Amino acid sequence: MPDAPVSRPHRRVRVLPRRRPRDEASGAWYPRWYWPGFALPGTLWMLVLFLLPFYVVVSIAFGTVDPVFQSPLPVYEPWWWTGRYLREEWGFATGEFRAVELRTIVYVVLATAICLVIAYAVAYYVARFGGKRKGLFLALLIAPFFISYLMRMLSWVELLQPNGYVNTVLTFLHITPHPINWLAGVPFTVVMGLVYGYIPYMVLPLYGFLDRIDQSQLEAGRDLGASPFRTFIRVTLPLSKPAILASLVIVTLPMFGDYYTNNLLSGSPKTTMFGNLLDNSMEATGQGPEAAVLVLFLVVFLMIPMLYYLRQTAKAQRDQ
Amino acid sequence: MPYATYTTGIGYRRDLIPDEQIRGMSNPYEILWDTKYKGKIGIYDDYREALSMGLLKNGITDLNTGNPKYINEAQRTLTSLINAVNVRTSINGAYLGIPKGTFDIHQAWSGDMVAAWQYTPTQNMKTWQTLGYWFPSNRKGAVFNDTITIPANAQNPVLAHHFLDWMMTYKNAMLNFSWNGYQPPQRKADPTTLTTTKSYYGEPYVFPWMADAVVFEKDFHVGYFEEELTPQVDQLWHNAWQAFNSA
Repeated sequence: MPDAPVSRPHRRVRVLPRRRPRDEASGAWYPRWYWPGFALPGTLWMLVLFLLPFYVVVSIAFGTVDPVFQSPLPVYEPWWWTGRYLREEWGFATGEFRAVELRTIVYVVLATAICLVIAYAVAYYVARFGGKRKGLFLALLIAPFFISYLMRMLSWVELLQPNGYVNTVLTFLHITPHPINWLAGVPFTVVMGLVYGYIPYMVLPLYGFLDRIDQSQLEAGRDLGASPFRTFIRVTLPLSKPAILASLVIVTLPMFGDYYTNNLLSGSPKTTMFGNLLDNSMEATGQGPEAAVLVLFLVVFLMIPMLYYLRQTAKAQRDQ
Repeated sequence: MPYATYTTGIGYRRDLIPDEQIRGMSNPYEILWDTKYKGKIGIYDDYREALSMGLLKNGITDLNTGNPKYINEAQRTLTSLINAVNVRTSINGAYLGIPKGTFDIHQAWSGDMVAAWQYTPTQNMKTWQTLGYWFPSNRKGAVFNDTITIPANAQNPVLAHHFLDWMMTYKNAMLNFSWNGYQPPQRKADPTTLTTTKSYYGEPYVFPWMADAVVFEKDFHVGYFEEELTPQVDQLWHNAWQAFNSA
């Protein structure tokens, strides 16, 4: 007789009551939606003030214009989209706009590099050696934000006039025999204008990060025999890489779309930047879809540094 | 309602460029290409105005042309300004830049130059005399008439009409002219007397040395209008302007 099957004892699964997530720090219980709820305002903000307007831009880029008033007519249904403007502008972007695109990249890279060198030095000094005056230095760093970008640029227009103070000082000191026409389409003026305009946006994040670097790590570097310079290169600089990347993103992205710095400080086709082409299309009647397509080109291009930044940030978090 | 009349010519610094020099040229538009004034020459940051200047320099008088050949030639003509004189584009270079010395020569609307005296660094006759305006003596140039319009769906059309009536009175129209330099098409405002009749500010409406800036009714018979372009032609013009800007 075969063995009677061994009756397996019933596995008694104890169904636990659904537990609310526990806040580990305080031991308090919160509903599931509690913490994600904090992201709601930001999510709504992104939806209403970014994604929705961005979709309108896309709809204009793939839309058409009013046959009478020539105003842009967005087409919201993707199945009615036309690629006509995209093809046209792609032709320009890979053709006669290339000089402008290259120039924009060169200007932005130069301006960003100068910004980084100056801003890092300033932020480093304030963070490390600010001492009791740190508050004062911080107030001075924030001071440029009290004056609008436009006003600061207009001030430079006056200072750089042929008979302005800059030329007066330069000729007085015999640095130059004749006044220099700084505003006559000089690339140097445009790049320095970008540096001047955007540098405050770089100093603050750098300062915020450098100020939080643990001093004991720097001391450890010194204790191990590294010189101050070597400690800076091997400890401070690698530690501040996330801040450098973040500040580069903050400064570089708006610089690529900047048009008024060039408009005010040059106005010459010799220094036209991509933002100026965009502005020209925006200002002209019937060019709405073209302008929207140029915006999309710029967004796609700017995704490259943005994605690099996100990748580096994720990598840094994994390494921690 | 017709609001302001004006022409497009060339504004210049009379202390640097004598009137006889520009008026003695066979094609005065060519002064914009004079390398002697390199870095101090400007044109309007306006695709219609700038390209029209290129057309006129090339002898083309149809400022609404849809002929790609003429438009492209005008664009090349403008582009040659970049290397020749390092031209700059601006919208306030005539009334603001010339008095301040930013520009020696700038494409100019007559109204801008009539009002430019208000922007000289010092307010006296000597500095006002440094401002000049040229327009073809045969009056064959770009001529305009800006209007004030009440939209069909205006919320307060009666009030809007009262405003137009108010603006059309001789006194108010001329007061406005004193301030903004743009000549109102008033029957009572005899163009032949505008260089001698005193404005609200106690100076002539138009300084006598800037008589070219006075607009006459006959200008609208011989001058050239910029009219609305078809979308296809407008695209050609815009492309040419973008090509100039990205040169």
